[in-house]
Amino acid sequence: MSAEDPKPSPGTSGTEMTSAPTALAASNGAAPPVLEAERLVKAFEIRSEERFGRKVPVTVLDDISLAVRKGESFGLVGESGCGKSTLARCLLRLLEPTAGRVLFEGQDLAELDREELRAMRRRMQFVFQDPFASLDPRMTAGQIVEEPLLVHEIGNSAERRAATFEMLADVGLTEEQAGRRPHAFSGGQRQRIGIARAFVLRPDVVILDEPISALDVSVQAQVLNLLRRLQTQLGLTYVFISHDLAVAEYFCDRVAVLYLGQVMELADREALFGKPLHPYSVSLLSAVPVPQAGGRSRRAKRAQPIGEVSSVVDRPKGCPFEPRCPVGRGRDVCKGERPPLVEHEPRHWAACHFPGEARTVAGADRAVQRPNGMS
Amino acid sequence: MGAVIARRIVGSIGAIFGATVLAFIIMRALPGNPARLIVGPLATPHAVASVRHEIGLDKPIFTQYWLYISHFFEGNWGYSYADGKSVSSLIGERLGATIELALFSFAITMLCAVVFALLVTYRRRPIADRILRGVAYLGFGTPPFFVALILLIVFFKSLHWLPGPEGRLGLQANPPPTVTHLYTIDALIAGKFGTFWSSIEHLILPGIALGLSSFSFIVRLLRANLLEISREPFLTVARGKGLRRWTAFRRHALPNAFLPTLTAGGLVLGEFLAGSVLIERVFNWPGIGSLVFDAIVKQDYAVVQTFILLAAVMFVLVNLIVDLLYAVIDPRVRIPVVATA
Amino acid sequence: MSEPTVSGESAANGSVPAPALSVRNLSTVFESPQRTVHAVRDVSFDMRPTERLGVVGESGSGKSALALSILGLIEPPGRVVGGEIMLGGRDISKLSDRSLGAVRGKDIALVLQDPMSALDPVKTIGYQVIEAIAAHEGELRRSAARKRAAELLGEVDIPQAERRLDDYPHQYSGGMRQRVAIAMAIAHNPSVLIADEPTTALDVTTQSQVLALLDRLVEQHGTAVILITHNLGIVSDFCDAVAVMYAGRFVETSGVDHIFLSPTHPYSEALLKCVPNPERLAEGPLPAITGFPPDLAQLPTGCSFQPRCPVGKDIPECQGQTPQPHTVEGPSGAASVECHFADQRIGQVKV
Repeated sequence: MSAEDPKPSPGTSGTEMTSAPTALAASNGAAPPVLEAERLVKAFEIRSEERFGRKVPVTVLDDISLAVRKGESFGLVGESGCGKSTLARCLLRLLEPTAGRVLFEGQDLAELDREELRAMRRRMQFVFQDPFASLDPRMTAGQIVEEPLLVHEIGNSAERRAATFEMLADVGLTEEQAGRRPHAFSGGQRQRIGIARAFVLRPDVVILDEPISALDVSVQAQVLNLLRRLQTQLGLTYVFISHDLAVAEYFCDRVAVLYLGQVMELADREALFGKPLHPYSVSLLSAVPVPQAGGRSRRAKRAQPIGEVSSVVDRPKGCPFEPRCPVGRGRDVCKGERPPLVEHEPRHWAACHFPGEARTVAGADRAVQRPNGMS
Repeated sequence: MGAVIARRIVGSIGAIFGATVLAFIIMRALPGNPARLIVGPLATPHAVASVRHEIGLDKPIFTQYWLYISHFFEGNWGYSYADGKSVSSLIGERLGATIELALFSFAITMLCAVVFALLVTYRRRPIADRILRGVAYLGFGTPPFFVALILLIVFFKSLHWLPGPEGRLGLQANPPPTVTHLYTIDALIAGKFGTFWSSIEHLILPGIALGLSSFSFIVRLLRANLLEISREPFLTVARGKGLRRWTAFRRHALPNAFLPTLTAGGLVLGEFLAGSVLIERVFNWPGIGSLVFDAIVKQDYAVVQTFILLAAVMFVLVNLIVDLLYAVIDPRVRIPVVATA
Repeated sequence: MSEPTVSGESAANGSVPAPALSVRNLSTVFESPQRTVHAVRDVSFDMRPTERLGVVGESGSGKSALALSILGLIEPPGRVVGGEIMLGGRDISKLSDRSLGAVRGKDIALVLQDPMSALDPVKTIGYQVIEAIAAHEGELRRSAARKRAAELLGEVDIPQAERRLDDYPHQYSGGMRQRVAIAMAIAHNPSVLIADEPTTALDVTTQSQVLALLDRLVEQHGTAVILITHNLGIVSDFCDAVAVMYAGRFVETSGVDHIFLSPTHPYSEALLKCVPNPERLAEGPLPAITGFPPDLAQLPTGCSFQPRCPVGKDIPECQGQTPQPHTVEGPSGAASVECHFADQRIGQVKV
């Protein structure tokens, strides 16, 4: 696939990791991947208290490979520190990776010059989490949505206006509202403006970084519906980042679970949420409270991970989840060897030495949690 | 913590050296002969030549620079040909006056700003708030010398409550024996309470005039910070523990609100220390502001050059103190925030 | 008509223990020259000892204002304008701020939402925990206070408690800070604990741990808990009873099973249906609630949910008359519902 091998990145244990999910996409015969991350590594330098104020490298993304197929909603879930936001920014090349490649329709983004990169940016857009902070408070809604058209020099003034109003109407805002500034809108409406801004260029891929987390439940539903409708209408591919597993399960076709900068599990929706293989996925899923009767008796069956997420600075050598893993904690192979991302079941990848064991330990099958549904 | 302090000190030294380089360059960049500027337009060529030699204009540039800064830090500030005295004695006489006024004004400005800001934010009364903001706008917009004149007219001429524009102690009085150059402290040391009170009296009006616009600035800043902090959850939590309103406010709101004010305070003190010509003129205050102003007019170069450096050093020192205070008060500066998960 | 106790059992038989907290007709407003915002409107409920009440609502429902009102922490321009709050036999709504200070933190305590800003950043954890202890303990020697503080931190599962007393909040993670907040709240064994979205800002796994901790502690100490949240999942996990809050009122109050099995008020039903449920993907878009939350300064006459209500939108009765709390018996217990159609809807709705 690539002409030269990416150089070895920190954190791998030396075992050769195939760019597995990329191979998945290719071998499948289905639509080719529109967006790929190939052994992506991103490290920052921070001052560390433990090291007497000297700068230490912090690896936020530790050898991530995945592929997004055209037209799907690809979910990235994980908790704080897992690197999902950093990954999103690397995919758009808002951040330069330390190692590895990002491919858009097979084209390595690093090889593009400025003009080409700019043209590519038209086709990949971003929706931010905080609907207030991501809008310039001094611009009107109309100006905010029009700006991408201006930047890419599309159409003349009248055409841009028309496109802007059309886009605003698509997200449910009126022409009159186009003249108002962000503070005059509610959270949900601001997020719609953000969405309009991202979609006005008719991109092919949209990366959504927690687009609904800051909104009320009822508004979340409205925005999710809107996103769904626009996806069908415009033929979009989504990369949907969320910490809310219920939303990810509802919205995404395939999901990758991240922990401390590594992919723990990657599978189709039903497979991941119905029969998770990785102990982290299991504990994550069982930690999600389900709004159903009989909740308190279910709580006893939780498979709680131990302790808190490890510091990003002190990465464990083997499996990053080992210190907290109900299955692998203390086991030599888990401590010493980083488990490779392997296709343990068809189209279901997990990075674990003992995949599937967590569920028996926990005894908390998802099926149990949804008595009136199938898993 | 030590690393933090060391970094700040090194930074300050760097800033001072930067100032010296800047002053050095400026002097060399001025049209004309620096030596001529120093001795003045009426001096003999012989004097010019001797000064040229003294400041090393005939030597390589780095030697010149070295001479320049080594003289400064040794205290050899040159000779004022216009006034016929060494620069260090000229400035020395005046520095005490400026420092005393600066410190006094700073103290009353900050005290008043704190008190007023607290009054207005502790119990929210819209009227008091509006009055304070009105006063602050007025104070900020009115030029200090104008305020000075008004104060004199009201408190000296009409009411006779305070002394007039007669400098630090008035025309007849004798200054106390010199220890610190600050008349108030020296008077206390010498046990001369009459002189002490007199010097305080003389400090009041110029202190107010000098500080009014800074007071306006600081009080608005502090008020805004206090209001913002009052809305923070940890205040509510503190009250939720059962703490009384003032206790929660005093322990938790004040320290946090002060931090940004500290920086502003440092700037204000630095400004005061650099002297204020207009205030000094109005009150006949023998400070370095008027000295430098006159020196500029007289083209008394040695004085000006020294003053530039002196002001830079004072400013940097004040800010260093502010930085260190910050490190003491705010643990987030001492113990850097590490990227936790 | 007797008020039902929150978990739906009727108080008729008289063997129900005295409530730990009893709120009647609590109302709070926020006044500015241009408008008056009615944040809490005539809220009434009882809580038995060790009971856990979940107050569910979205932004603008008034739930945070409710918490602060009960504790007397509403600051101007807001004020509590009516009602009584009976705690341990006393009406604390009538107490002066000074007397209330003796109650806050001791008989009734508060845990807030954002652990990042719930602790003073320039004071050590130890200082703040000891402050909570010392607020109601009179003279306490420093060593004794430290010991007690370390014990408290240990109770909330903070490792190496003694050493960590000297750390500052920014050296703790979000989950740990929330535990500290809980430790401070239970320091004096309050009979009632109000937790306002205590886990919203935390990761899912941390949230699960913190809730488990809270669960354990309230069992041990016998504390009644008011848990304010927008997350219905947490309510089902943790609570015995639920109050759904909309536009400052409790529109439905019942046992927890009732709300999930047979929600009666149209808002409760809509709220439940909005939650993304993968099994209902086939049904098409999420049934979102149309419209926006009401402006609490300009409430419609009649039922405040009426403009968005799929049932009552064009019904004159809903537009004209404010529904009063109305007890209905459902398949999973009793409920108090503020809806003109409560009787018709009870037991009919299945989610």
